[in-house]
Amino acid sequence: MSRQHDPIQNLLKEIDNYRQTVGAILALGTILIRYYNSAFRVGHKLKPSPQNRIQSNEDVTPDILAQGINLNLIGEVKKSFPQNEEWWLSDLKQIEKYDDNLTNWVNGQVENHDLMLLTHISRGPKLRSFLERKIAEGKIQFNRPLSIIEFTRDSQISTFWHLRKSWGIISNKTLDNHLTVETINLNGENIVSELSSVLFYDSEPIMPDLMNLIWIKVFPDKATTERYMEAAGKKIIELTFTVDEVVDKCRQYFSMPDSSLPKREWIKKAIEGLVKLNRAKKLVGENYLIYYHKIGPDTLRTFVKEWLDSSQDIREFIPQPEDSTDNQTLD
Amino acid sequence: MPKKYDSKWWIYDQTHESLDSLVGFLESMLSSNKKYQIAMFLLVSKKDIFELFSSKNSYHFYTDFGNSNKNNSMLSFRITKKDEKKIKPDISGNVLFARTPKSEVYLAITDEPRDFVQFVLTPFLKSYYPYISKAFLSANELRQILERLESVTGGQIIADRITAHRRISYIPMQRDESGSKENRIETKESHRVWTKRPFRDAFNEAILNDEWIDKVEFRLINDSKTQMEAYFSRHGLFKFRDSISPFYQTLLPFIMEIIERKFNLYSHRSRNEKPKPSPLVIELDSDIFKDDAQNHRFIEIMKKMSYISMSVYHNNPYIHVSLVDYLDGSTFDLWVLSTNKITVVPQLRATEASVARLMNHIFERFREGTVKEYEGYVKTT
Repeated sequence: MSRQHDPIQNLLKEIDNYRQTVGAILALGTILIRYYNSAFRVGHKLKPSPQNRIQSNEDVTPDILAQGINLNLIGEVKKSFPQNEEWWLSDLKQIEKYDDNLTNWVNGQVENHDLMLLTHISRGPKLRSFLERKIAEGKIQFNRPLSIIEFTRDSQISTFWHLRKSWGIISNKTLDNHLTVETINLNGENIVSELSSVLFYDSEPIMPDLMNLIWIKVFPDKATTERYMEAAGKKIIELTFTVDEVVDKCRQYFSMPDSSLPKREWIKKAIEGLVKLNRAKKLVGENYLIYYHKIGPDTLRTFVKEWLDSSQDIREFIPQPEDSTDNQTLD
Repeated sequence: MPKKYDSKWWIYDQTHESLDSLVGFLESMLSSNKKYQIAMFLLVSKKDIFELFSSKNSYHFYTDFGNSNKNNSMLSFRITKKDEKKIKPDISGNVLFARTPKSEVYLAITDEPRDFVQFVLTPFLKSYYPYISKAFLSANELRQILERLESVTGGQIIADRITAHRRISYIPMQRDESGSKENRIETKESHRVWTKRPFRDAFNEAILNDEWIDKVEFRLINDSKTQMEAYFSRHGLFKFRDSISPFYQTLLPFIMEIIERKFNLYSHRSRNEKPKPSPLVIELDSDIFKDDAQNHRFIEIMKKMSYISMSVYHNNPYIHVSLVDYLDGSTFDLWVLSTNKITVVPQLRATEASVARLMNHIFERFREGTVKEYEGYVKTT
């Protein structure tokens, strides 16, 4: 089987794309926090006004929120767009819901804010022309400054995240200049703590990745040292968890402060996935028994493979590799 | 039980007021019997190991507590390893544990034969992981220790035997047709031995050949006479013939300083203690990751670490893997984002024993480096 059509490789690539996007969000956040003294949140809920054109009844959850002196930003990440351009409009319409007098900001109410679209550099040109066309046709309208920021990850001697503004205006002239003239190049080494502790944005992770994540990062902390000593690295350790317990741990340790991510339904789906793989058992209510033990040699790859094997019927829905979004390969 | 007044009675049943008085006694035993050998483990524990031994039984071992002194600074007991299948005879032996001036460093002293040390004492101590950790030393630290011994005693160290392991290069092979199994050359190490050479020559040659020093047996020569025959291993096991005084007086405080400094750096890294990650950086002395093959080699080596599982998120050109230590639930992220650094990010649980085990594995199998605090080391530009 060629690597291009290897479903395991395809899924691992999707998982890596998700991480690359989170990395870009964190790179932008780090710059805004360090150099613009801004508060930065991922998945923070805001309240729409009654005049919201898209969604006035329910809270809105932008991917990115930044709030500082002369800098208030709401950003949405679009890592990829559907092949069919007709569907792009509905995606962009979603951003219109942030073009509103939103409340519940982190540090008090703001008078005005900018809108930002964050996308991979490979999507930038198409997105720019589509957006310009739809604005010209009057099919989409923004009353606040809107910009497109393109990102990419690149590894030469060191691994960097690059960010640049490719379209639009940012009201904060310094940031506008920073992202237009200089571009932002952030060494991954500078955000290694963030990359290890913020693992979600407002897009459902690839399911075996989420199953792996809770298996290797949340479950190991539950058993006492004595239970590990007794198991001696060989025996199964039985652990009980509730969905909420896992959600709370993930939000506490693997998400930004005040985040509503990961969503509860994602976690529930991941734990149900473990049940499907016979690695957990459903007890009463939302209690689960986890059969905790070593899975190797590569736990992530094992989950991907087991997930694919158990999901023959959904294999056709697994995303095929899109245009190369990076110059790296997963070998 | 030891016969009254034999060496075992004197070591394990007699009350020793202090470590000084015990070492004085051992020195007289060693000087009077050239074949007599003392083995000593340096151990690290945040817990009081005397309380640990009395409160927690080790699985697969039986212990008969013996003597402790008035100030509770020494404790002796007999350990028996039972063969549960009842095929082999039980192995028993005596050991004396002693506190040191460093509250987290302990000594385990025995004059029992090698089989007891290897098949009983070592696994007995391992069964208390992560509460008890070996005091791992790097090859560079072993070298510093030997250099200090020479400079303080004015003697010369002749290495009788050095055990080093060669780091075999990783050579990727093509996957088989099914794509389900990845073929690769195993990263086995070969052993090499030097005899009767100044230790510096042997160490230099090992470095040149990209080998890691595991243990060294040597003689300390003073005035053309052998003052001490000893064996030092990177896993914190020391053995002595002829004399122990040069070690006790000259080296032990120095080694304990090294161990204390190292374990202080490894401590309090868990995110349960401080939610913000507290990474460590291993600085390597060359741009080893310039060569892509080293990425694959590093990952294959990490997969071979005992009792861990790994998730490989990215392997080329940068590395991101997550590890779980199934012996105690410690978890880590490892990042290689530049050509000469490995960043270790401890997660929710990260015991110092697990950090030490991880660092030792990287040093032994991949390459030695200098462990530094991430904060303040990586430029925030």
